[in-house]
Amino acid sequence: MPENTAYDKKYDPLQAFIDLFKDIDSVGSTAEEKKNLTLEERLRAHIIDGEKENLHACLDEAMEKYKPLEIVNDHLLDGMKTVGELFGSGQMQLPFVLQSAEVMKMAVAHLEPHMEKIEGQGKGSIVLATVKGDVHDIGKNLVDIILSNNGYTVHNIGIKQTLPQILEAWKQTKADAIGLSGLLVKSVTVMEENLKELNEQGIDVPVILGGAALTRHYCESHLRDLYAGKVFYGKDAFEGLRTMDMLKAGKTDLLDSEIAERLGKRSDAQKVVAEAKAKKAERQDAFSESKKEGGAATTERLRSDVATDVEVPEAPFFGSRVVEGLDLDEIYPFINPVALFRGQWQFKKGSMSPEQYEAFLEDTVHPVFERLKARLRDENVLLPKVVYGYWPVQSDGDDLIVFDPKDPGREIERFRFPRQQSSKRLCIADFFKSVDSGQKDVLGLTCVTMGEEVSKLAKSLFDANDFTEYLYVHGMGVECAEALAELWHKRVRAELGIGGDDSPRIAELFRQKYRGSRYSPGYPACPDMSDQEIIWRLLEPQRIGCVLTENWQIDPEQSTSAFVVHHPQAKYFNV
Amino acid sequence: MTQPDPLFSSRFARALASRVLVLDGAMGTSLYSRDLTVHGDYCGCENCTDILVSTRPDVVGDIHRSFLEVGADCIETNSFGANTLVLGEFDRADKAREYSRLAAEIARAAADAYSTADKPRFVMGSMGPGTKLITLGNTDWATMLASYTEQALGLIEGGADAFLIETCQDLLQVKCAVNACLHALERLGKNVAQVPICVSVTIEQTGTMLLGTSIEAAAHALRRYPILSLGLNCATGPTEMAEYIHWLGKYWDRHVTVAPNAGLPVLVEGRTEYPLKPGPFVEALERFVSHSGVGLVGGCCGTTPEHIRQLAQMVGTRPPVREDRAVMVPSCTSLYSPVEYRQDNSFLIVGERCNASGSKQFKRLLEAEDWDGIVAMAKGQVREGSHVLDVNVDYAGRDNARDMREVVQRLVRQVDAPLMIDSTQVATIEAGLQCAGGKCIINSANFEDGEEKFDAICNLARTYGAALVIGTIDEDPEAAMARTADRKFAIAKRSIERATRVHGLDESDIFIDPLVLPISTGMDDDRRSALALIEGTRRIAEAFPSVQITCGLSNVSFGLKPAARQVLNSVFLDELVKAGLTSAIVHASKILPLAKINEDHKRVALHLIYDMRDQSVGGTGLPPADERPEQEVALA
Repeated sequence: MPENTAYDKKYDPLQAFIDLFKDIDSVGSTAEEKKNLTLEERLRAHIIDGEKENLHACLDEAMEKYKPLEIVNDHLLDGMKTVGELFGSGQMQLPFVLQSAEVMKMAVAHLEPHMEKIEGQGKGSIVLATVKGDVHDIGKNLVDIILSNNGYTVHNIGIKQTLPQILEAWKQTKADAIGLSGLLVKSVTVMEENLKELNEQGIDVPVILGGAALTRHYCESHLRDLYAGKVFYGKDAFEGLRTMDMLKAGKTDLLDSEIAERLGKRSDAQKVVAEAKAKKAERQDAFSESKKEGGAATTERLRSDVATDVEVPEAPFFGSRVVEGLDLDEIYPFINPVALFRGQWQFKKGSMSPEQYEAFLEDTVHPVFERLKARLRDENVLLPKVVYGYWPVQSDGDDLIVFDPKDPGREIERFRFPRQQSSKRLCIADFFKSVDSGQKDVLGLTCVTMGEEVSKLAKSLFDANDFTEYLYVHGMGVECAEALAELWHKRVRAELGIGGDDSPRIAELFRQKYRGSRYSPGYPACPDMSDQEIIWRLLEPQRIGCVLTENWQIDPEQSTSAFVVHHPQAKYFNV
Repeated sequence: MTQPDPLFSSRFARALASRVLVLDGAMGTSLYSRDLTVHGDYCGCENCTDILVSTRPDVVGDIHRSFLEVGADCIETNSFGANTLVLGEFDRADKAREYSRLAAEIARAAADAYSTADKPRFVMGSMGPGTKLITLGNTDWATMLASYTEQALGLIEGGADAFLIETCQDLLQVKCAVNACLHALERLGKNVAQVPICVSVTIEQTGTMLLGTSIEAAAHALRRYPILSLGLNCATGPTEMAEYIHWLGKYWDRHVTVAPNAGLPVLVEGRTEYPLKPGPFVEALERFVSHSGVGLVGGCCGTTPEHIRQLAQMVGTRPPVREDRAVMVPSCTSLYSPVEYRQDNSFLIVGERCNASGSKQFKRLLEAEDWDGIVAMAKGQVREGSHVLDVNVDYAGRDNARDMREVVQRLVRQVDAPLMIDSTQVATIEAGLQCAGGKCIINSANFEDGEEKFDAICNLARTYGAALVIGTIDEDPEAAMARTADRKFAIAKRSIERATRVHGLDESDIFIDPLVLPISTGMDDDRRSALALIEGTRRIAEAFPSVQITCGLSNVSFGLKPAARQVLNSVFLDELVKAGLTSAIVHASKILPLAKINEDHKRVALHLIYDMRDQSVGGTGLPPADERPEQEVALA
């Protein structure tokens, strides 16, 4: 290498490189300087961040400056309000809301001994119940948490509550309102009956209705019209809170006008839709008429064009069998993470990018999932059991006839399935060989449960104010039952010798990447819940501890039943 | 075949090479169907079927004969749980070797009675998974190794023709059992040419082994062991196994074995039933033999002598046929899945941050023993794009081996990325390898302390089936770290030769680290070290095309501002990859794509890398003319 060239002195790339970056700072570092928060800001931050550490010290410091009740009303509740806004806009996930609620409850518990007299200073009270025949209570319990933490006295009387029980509680407590919840479609009817009964009894206490089955429109138009008192729709716990605030502040007229405005907007849009619907209805009426008049030949014509030449798999046995002693580690891999994380645990994506959400799930949610799996296994909380079986069947129009396996000529049960009135005119019965074919087909039935211990654990957590864990445990119970149903469906396919079409990836099984389908009563293709009674006569699920409520829901809640159909064209559809 | 001949020279291996052999059916379920008394036959140890070889050799022998009678070529010894870990649960840990020996002797006598010149019968020494898995923390490597060694000794002494490590749930369990067999053989003056080792893993209904390991990961992790065959048994029936058997048939370079259950077990009214009848069972296996090249077929749970009779009829004397062949691409693996060493259009990114001497954050987490924090850090690196994670817990004053165990056993289960076990101490590396079921990369061996330590680390790679980083440092007290391209190449050559010829490592499993030295000090000695590395990399890559080349990239910019480092590291990496580098140990998110680097920054970085203080033409490694400074005067 030649030495002492001119460049040695003039140009040193190292120096040039260093100079280039003299004023450029690191790209990746976003140095966040922690602000020195004021006492008031810290109080709010404890609630918003769900931060328990140093909470008591912070509250003690606050008590030197404010009265305990002022701390609650002016600062902590202010934090809860922000939490509500963040939740409402999808920027905060439910489990974090519950953490905030836990901190709130801890704070109130810490301040309570210092309060002059907290009772009677509550903002108001409400009786909360899940209606008759319905066992779903997570939404109702959230309302309890949020209202309690916002200063209301909540009388949460539980699930499957009849109107006399609800009124008994209301009369005893003289509550300002009654909140009714339910998940089932049937529960909407029960709410409606309850409202009519209240009219009969001359009671006009404000009622707040909520739950997955109820729509805002049905509540605010139809149900509101038929009740003498006030009816409000609670989309979530925070809307319930706002309604209670308005009720107590005597601002129901504001709520009324909001509802009127919504209905007004809707009626404009409705006119357009109604016209379109009317035309469609005309066509359908003509169609139904022809069906009523037509004989067997017409029925045949109206059947869907689902293939009739599918080879019938051989059932491994006929009748039913009980299976116990299943290993949870076999079931866990079949848990649908989307249903659990988003549906049950309410970790919504919100404004996160897919990558951020993925990272969030991995860092925050998966560890919880792993812990829950271990906990429920180690504490023997989940007790999986299955009853399942196979029956010879034939379709007869929209009916599916179930024959006695020991006496194959004898009809022992008959399901009637609804048929799509348009589209492909599908009906579950079409997936089976017909009476005319002279050939028997095979129907699978399953009922799975995770037992009632998980419900008990969930309740004890709720009672102990451990809301976050309650949500986790409850969700795990429900999704484990679904996972067991998925696993057992796989087993049934294997036993029928049609497992060869199964996707090797479990995640794809959740999207029906297998031959045939599994339909649960109450789902779109077979909405008639009373089919459960027939299933119960055939399968006798009481042998695994599953009984039907009067609305044909399964008790314990963490259970599910299904028809298993082997036909390759059988997939989910709506009637 | 990449394996040395001795592996295929045993009597059993030669028979296996000539035709499809038929293995027997279920031992366990056959025993359970006999009327045996808990107090008498089982000595009060209910379900401990291994005891029966001493109390009821007649019953065990009968079952063997029932399968030999219908044409089984191989019978499995009744020693599934005859190791000290399992027998310890029945207070009979000291009986492992004796029961294993008796089991082999009973099978030997039965097999010999049926052997003819045309149809020799073989005894396969069954070694089950036991009840404790290392990866789950139920036991540790040393305990399991001792447990299996006793069993293997007994099986050899009783006259087994081969070991069958079967129903494997955990890759660590397999690695440990293979090593136990090798130890036992060595202790008795034998080797795999006399008693070969067969491995059969269990793929659950979920499509993976119990702990989540895919068949691909299992094959890669076990590939370098001197095993005669790899196959599947138990958990499912033949239909469910088809996909994985086909994969093995296509990719596995030695024999493939299969022993399915008679369908999926069904728990009926408290009893386990296996529904698949002999007809459909044999029909499914026929495809494995005639398409997927399976050379040893048999049955697991629920298979009866009738299943085996029909199986033997189907097999006859035909050879196995593989319709589809391909070569496994060299890879390392996590506990769950493999990662190829060569990444298309990229390099193998080894995350550098879990390093006590390279990351303050990691060091603090280690001091606080915040293991969850370390897991979170590891996951973060995978999200940023790391394919493999370097783990280095070397920290004076701490128990490094313990730290390595604590960290690795968590990362293995919670992070789906292969690990690079990084330490200067043999004991620390070994502690990590004993917790990692997948195929790890060891970082690193070198000749700094002579051949003895180099050899010790090569031995670890062989014992644990790992890949190995070798740094270009030698005993030379003055030069030590290779600074020039010549020395980098010379030491690389010497290491590769020793690792492959003396220790039997595969070239593709060797990662040469030609050592990155800073060019940022301003000292004349350091100015050309980047150039030397590029040139050294090029020469190593040309001479050893299947060897991997890696480096700890960020050292090149030591001492500069973070932003400057990011640019220099990224530009340098690009030059190295062009020269033949296949991998780098980096902070993945701090590597910038060249398109995103300011042109001036890039150009000056290149001047720095190629030491262009001197504009003389003709120096090695100079960039093309158009990349040379045009504005040098202005810049100066």
